[in-house]
Amino acid sequence: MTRLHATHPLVQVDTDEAGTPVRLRLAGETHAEIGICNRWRLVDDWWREPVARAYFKLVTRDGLLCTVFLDEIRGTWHLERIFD
Amino acid sequence: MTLPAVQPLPEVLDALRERGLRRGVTPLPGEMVVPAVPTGHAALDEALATGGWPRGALAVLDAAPGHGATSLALDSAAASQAAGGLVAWIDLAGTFDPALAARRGVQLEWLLLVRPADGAEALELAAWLARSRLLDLLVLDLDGPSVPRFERLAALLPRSDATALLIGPSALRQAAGRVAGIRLRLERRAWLAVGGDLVGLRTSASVTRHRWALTGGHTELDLYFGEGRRIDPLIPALAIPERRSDEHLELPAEQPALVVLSA
Amino acid sequence: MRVLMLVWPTLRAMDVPTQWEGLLDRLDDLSPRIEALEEGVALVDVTGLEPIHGSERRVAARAVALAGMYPVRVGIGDNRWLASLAVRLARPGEIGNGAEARAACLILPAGEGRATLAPMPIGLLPTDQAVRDRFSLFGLTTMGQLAGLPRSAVAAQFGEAGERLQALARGEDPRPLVPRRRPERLATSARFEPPAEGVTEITLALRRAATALTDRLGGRHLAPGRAVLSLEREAASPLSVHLALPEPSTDPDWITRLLLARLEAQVRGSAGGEDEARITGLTLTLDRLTNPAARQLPAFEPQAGRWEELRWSVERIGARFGEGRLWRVVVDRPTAALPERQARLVEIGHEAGTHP
Repeated sequence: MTRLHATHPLVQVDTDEAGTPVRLRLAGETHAEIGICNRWRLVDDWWREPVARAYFKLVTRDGLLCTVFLDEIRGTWHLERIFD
Repeated sequence: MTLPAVQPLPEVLDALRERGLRRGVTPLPGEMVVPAVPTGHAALDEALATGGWPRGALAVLDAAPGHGATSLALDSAAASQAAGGLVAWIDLAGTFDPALAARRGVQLEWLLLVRPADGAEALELAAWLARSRLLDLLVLDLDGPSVPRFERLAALLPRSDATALLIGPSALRQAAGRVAGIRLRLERRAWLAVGGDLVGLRTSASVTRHRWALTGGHTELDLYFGEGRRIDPLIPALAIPERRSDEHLELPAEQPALVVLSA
Repeated sequence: MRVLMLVWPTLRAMDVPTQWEGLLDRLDDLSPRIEALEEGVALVDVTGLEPIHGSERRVAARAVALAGMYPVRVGIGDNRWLASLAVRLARPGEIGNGAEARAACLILPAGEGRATLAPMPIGLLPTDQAVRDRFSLFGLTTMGQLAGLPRSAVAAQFGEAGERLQALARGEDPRPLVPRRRPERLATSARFEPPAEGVTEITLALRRAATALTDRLGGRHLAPGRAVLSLEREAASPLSVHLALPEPSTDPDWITRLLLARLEAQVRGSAGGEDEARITGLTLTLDRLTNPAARQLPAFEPQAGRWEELRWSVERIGARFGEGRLWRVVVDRPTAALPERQARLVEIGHEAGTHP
């Protein structure tokens, strides 16, 4: 089961040159060691508010497993799910 | 069965437990037969020695985030509904994930989702719902800085036939722990992975407090997230756990293997 | 065929099903053939409306006027695809010169779909990035280029999905419009002369109205799922009470009792001295008609009976804690790409009186 953050709170993410997250700052904590479990893109709703997101499911050294995405239109990073 | 005439009680109980004594065989003092709500995991029902969450109990899932408390609460909700029960999920943080809950077996048509304004109201609503005597399981998914008082709810539950499962941050669990009938400690032992992706976790579950049976019951649970279109829903069913009792079983090579990584 | 598409970009986010139904009802003035694609997206068959409304510009302006106060985008084309493309490309200021001019609108000329699309970028086709990448690999950048290829070649390279996209690029879309059935509703009114002051008078009139309507329905084996009571008041704004019945019913006493209870709760919750205003008229409307005998009996589910009881307890809880606390979850679009769109919450006590 995951906890779905449907309001998509902002998170701070640093990426490498390829755009892959390498550092995540969430709820005041910095997670510097990150493993990427999965990644995918989502493009939807071209006829109204267009949506383009690059998703990453990632796990940190201290056991945080979550999905975050880059809103490719606004250039902001958001939290979507925390796995618990 | 003979035991030395004089022996400290804890040792007596340990000795009894080692012999596999369970409820229904010889009830122990302090181990009562109580109706229960299934946890969704037979091994945990067994470890609790009450066949599930005892009705009327406030049960605290002592787990840090990422150790499986939400998954276990969800599995319990699904099992309770499968047994004909009604469930309320008190979702203070607003992070209930309906699509995944449905995929994990929760029947949403028999689920009441409660969105209280704050922690105190969450407990007040839980008390109202418990008083209706119509619910089997109340999941208290609490969050936030304030720590409400659990005494009234804990006192009310035994008359309601419902079990309340608390998940939430440490301060809340501590506050509820003082009046809880059951505390179950969850610690992630491993991630369950398919290829490079993590699809679940293996968690150890230890009963650290039990008003109706012996404490110390212990088991390991495999909890799957049931997530996403990215993962074939058949994978958990096909996945092969790392250790199985039937080791001799040969499974066809084309089935996806479940790799258990160290946590 | 000429299809007009209306998209209210903000409507779905607001989750206002009653207003959505109201908007669709209003569009009936334009054309009897309306398809509600999803909440906030409607298709209207506007073929041959010129004699009634004038040019298509005027038809579009009329649609915008009927579309209510929410921001709306309008497009007209020869079929669903062209209408949706027109909506997407629409810009404000195309129609009207009053309030309508603020709505984005585009009308694609009739019978010229292929020629209109030819210079447009191929990226406008509804497909995913992988297919777009393959198009660019083949050097296809405009819809005209794709439209001009032999059908067999497209099928060989891009399969069935490619053929469909080529048809779209040629301005063809065979999907028909599926008009919604206009929901039936029954209403009756009573006037009080002199104005009513006591609750007894209102109760009697309401019960009479409920009996008159349910008698008409009972003979047709139909029962309402919702009742709406509107009260006109002397020197005060009208008061209306919406009640989703816990289950469809033709019992006038039950409907009367529930409406009065809801009315009482509503008046108690309202501030100000308007409660004293005398009642001059009353209208009762029953809708969401279903055949109760055709419903699957919920008794087969062990939870069904207790859930109904729970709903009644929950109504009391709602009165104690206020609205927005108790919900049920409906996963109505399990395959929606965005997780936040897969499910929606329906507040208990405000949902339609149908059993899931």
